[in-house]
Amino acid sequence: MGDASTAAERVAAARVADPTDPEPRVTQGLIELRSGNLDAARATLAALHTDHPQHFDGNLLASIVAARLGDVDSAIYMANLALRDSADFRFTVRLELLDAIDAPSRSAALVAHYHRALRLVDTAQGAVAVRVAQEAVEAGDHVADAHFTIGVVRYREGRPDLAIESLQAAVAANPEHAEAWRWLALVHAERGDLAREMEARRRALDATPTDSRYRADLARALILKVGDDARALQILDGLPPGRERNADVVGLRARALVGLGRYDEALPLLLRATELDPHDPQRFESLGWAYERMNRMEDALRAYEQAAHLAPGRSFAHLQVAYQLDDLDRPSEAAEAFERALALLPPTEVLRRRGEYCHLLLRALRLREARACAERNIRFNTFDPYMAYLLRVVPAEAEDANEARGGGAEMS
Amino acid sequence: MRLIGYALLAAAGWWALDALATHQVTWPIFVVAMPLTAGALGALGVASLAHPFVARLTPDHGLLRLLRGLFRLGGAALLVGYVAALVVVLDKRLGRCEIAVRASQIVAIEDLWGPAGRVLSTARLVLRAWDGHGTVTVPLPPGERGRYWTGQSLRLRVCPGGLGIPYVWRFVVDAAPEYERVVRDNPAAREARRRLAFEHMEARRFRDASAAVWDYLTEHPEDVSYADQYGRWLANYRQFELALPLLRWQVERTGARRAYYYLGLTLSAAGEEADADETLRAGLARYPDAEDLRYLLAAQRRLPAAG
Repeated sequence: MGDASTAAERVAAARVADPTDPEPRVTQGLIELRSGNLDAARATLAALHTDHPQHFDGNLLASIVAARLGDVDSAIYMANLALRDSADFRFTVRLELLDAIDAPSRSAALVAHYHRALRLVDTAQGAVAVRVAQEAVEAGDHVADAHFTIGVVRYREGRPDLAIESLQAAVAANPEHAEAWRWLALVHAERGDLAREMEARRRALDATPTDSRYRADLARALILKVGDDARALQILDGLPPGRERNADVVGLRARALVGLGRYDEALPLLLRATELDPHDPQRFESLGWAYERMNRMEDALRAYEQAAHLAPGRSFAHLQVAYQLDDLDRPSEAAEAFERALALLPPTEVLRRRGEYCHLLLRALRLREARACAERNIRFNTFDPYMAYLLRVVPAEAEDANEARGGGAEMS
Repeated sequence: MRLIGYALLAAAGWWALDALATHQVTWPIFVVAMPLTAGALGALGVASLAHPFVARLTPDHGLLRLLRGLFRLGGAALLVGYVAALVVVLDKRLGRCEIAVRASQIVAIEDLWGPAGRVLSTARLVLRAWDGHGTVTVPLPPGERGRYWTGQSLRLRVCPGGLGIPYVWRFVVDAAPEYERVVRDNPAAREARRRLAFEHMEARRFRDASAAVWDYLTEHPEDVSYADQYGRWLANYRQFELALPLLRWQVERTGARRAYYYLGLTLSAAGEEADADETLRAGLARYPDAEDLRYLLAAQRRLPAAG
């Protein structure tokens, strides 16, 4: 099974070269596990977890080590922690996982979690995970965790109705099962059941108040779906200080502050989020949104233009550019930006929004195009009064700028 | 030639099946027209495959008569499927389903075909009837089972159908009751209020939508573009008495050139020419270089008087 001494030497060298890199520490944990030095492996992986709480291989390996030490509760907890984020895991960790499944007198509920992990590389493992978890339920072995595993696999198999049954059984067996609450929130969210989603998110955080993930999830839903910005800020205040380096968290706090009209506090955070994540167009869109509400239209335009530059295939940013240009009384440029957005929108949205475009053309005094646009649009919506009006005021023989001058002369 | 004929028949049958399966037709159509069409296709397929061999082997045998009978039965059944599918397609072409949007609620979700239904993920929804009497059963396409729950509100697009049998063209989840609950429980729910207005608009509940918009604007008057957006949306549905106060509020609040343009436009579309004229003049007084307002005002004067 490999050359342990050479591996240990390379790990030591890699750790010296880059002490922040988590990978050598995973390898070190693996070496210690294989040499039977379980306490050392546990310490190595615990330290890794402190620095990199979401490291998939590290958490899964920590679960295997805990299982070898007979600590099934910790093993299940760490396995769930690893599986919160799907990832392609190391081949060597897979081998350890297979050994852990084959180990005698192991908890069926834990083995079900491992089969769920293997499902990431082999979907057929889902059925095995469900069967083993059902055995665990019958044996009364970590019933909540077993129901939870069944629920997650059912969801992944495209049966959210069955997933809900199992997840509800999990929280009935253990109302403190935070992951089951989180998954219930996901399924309710997918159905559009906002009240139940929020309740489940709140229960997840109540069950594990120290977990930053549940805290950030609840705050995000409060801001983006409910709009209770004050409550979201309270939730975010409970995050450990280190999380303020995370662009997502900074962006969330800023959005809540904008929602509350506390622009002076929000703006530095929004700018910081664009520095932390300069390639994410959504950071600039949030900045644009804040400027818009502050009535700083030129700044809003620049922020949206940057977002459109970063993601030229994203219709939202182009639409916002068009709206800002329109607000700045530059309808001709607004029409061009709108045209770019229309080219990216799905057909149903194009139908919904093309009327606005026709009027932008009229406002830009591009009369022939405006009329052609309205003629096209009214075919799909014969009742649209704006299109009917446009066709009434723009004669069929209209000539763009000349006609406008004619209209102006007539008026004066 | 005969083969081409069979192929065309099969293609038309497949089209009929597809037309029926794509839409959430009501239960009687689902259990009568779809099995008939599917059975007819099967019968025609078997008969056409077996016919040449049977005809060659036993020219006057009873089996041949049976096959011919199968052809006729299949053809008749297929005709029923065609008619049902034609009704569905014509309704769409003639736009007869566009205006009949009804609110409903899921009363029960029943799995189909027993254990096999769970494998195929197929179910039927029992809904409150849109006329307020009894229930309507609608089959759920495979894979859709998990998205619905008992008590969930839906919006149905109801088509008149043929022979006076209405059917559901499609249904979508109506999230308004959910948002109402969230807003009731949490008066600070800004985003939920916005979504509530959106859901009411989507369901064509214009008065409720307008009330939700005003409710939101009272709490968040800084969201000025919101009034403009909903004012124009309501006007698009010719709800001028609800749209105009929003657009007027927008003009008073922002005094933006675009706000004058849309208020003038909407007043004119609503037939209030004098007010439209006045609005555009006020806009021009404020923005003397606004060519769009100037054009609209001039064009307005060229129009024949209303009525």
